Formats: sequence, structure tokens, C-alpha cells
Amino acid sequence: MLATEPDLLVVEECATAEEAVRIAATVDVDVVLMDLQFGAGMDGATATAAITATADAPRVLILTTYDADVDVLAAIEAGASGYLLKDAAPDDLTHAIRAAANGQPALAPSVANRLMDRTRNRGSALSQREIEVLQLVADGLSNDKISKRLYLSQATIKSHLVHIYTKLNVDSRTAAVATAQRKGMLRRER
Amino acid sequence: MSRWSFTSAAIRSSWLNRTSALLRVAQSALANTVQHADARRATVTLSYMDTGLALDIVDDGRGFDPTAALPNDAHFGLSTMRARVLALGGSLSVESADGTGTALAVSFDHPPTVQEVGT
Repeated sequence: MLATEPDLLVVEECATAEEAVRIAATVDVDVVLMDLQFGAGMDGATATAAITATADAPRVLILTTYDADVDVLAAIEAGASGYLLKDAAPDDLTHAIRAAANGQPALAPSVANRLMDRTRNRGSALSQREIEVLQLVADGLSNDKISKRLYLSQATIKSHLVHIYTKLNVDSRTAAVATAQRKGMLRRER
Repeated sequence: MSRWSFTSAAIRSSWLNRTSALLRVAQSALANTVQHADARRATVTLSYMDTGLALDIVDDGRGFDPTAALPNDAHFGLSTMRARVLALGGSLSVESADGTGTALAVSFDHPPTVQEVGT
């Protein structure tokens, strides 16, 4: 699809995040289109952080099917300059690539809406770390496992959970996960 | 130790009177990690939460039994840290067991604001 755009040239394509980091560091590219999940390997947010941390880094535009807060916030924090969903119209995608190349942000309308909602409801919105903790709860990890994964004490994990319960007005792990999934904060089972 | 990482939000002015205590705790805890833990990785995280602040120093080293007798210097360091934190109204916990790494956590509730205290 991008081949029909005279001012856009696909320089490289690759199948893993590790490869994307390597190519971005060695090949002269302006924009990287990055998905978020690559099976067992490095995830897209980690790769985005690695790519954008270098001098004269290319812009990274996320193009994915994942639209939950947990993924959007991690990608933006990692330095992505845009976040598009794979159902975007071709024109929206090419527009976003040109915007990214010029250093301008580009967000899917649904993603922009979710970010604006977070700002409007700052008091009750979960922090990025709280959403990260709750995603691991949803993935079935115990507090001990979450603590090892995030390099935090179990005491601090418990504090995060207390704040999550208060903000979501729930009193159990199951209810917190169900509520957060319904509100689009967490990845849905697929 | 081959890998260090630090994570933090920006410090808020209401916490300035506790920053030196937090710094001392972080220094002592990391000194213990270097001297005793034989860790590959240690992470220091400062978390701002709705009701307060937490400082976590976590390593993946050999761990220890917190209820057992410790080498004198490590024991002394821990009691000094705990006393310092308690004196400022905070709490300190140590989570560890043989072979599982060590997590040391300090937490403080938010100090009352000027409005709450009155003038």
C-alpha cells in the first residue's frame, strides 16, 4: 500500500522487535512503524524506548490492534510519536507517517479520546504504574510474581492494589480486573 | 553487579524535608546490596501514590532470612535506616528469603497540607 505513495519509501521490513532496533540503529530511516506484541521476544514498547533513546533517532509510529490504556500509555512513555490502529484508513496512515517524519504527533481518534478522558478524570484515572500492575493481575500473576517482574516490594504492590480498588470502587482482584477491562484500560482476552 | 536502574517521578516540594532520609536509606540499602547480595541487578524506584510515597530498593541477589542474625554491619545499617524512617513517621519493611533476592521498602504518607494544618 505504501509503495503507491511517491514520497514514501519502504526501506526495510522485519518480523521481530530486536531486528527493528538493530535496523533502526544501522539504516538511515525517518519513521519506524512498530507493532506492540511479537510473541515471546522483546515487546514493541521496549523496542520503541531503545530506538528513541539513540541520537538522531527515527520517529516511531505505533501501528497495532491493541487499543487498551496499558499499551497506549506504555508506548507514549517509551517515546512513540504516534499511535494508530490497524483499522485506520490508508489516507490516515500515510498522513500520520508524513506527520511523524516532520516531528508531529499522530493519534487514532479513539486513542486521543481515551487520553482526553484520563485528563478530565484525573482523580479517578489509574496511573500508568497502577494499570501495569493490574494488567499483571489480569494475566494471572500473584503479588510475589508481580513484585519480581516489576522489581518492587510486595508492600508497594499491595499499596498500588489498595489505590486501584479505591479508584475503581471494587473490593477484589477479580472485580478490579473485570471493571478495568470493561473500561478499556486492560487488554482483552483474545 | 552488572545492571542498575532508577525510576522516579519528579520530586514534589512537599517532600523536600524527607529527601535526605530517602537518600540515606537508598545509599545504605545499595551498600548492603553491593557488599552482601551478590546480585546481577538492583533497581531503585520512587513511587508517588495517592496517599503517599514509596521508595523500593530491590535486587535479585542471594537474599537472607530477615529473622536470622545478620553480619554486624548489615544489621546496624538496617536498624539505623529503620530508626531514621520511623522518626519521620514512615515505615520500613524488608522482604527476603534465602535465594530469592531482597526488597527493601520505605513508605511515607503525604504530609498534611498547609490548609489542613491551619495557620
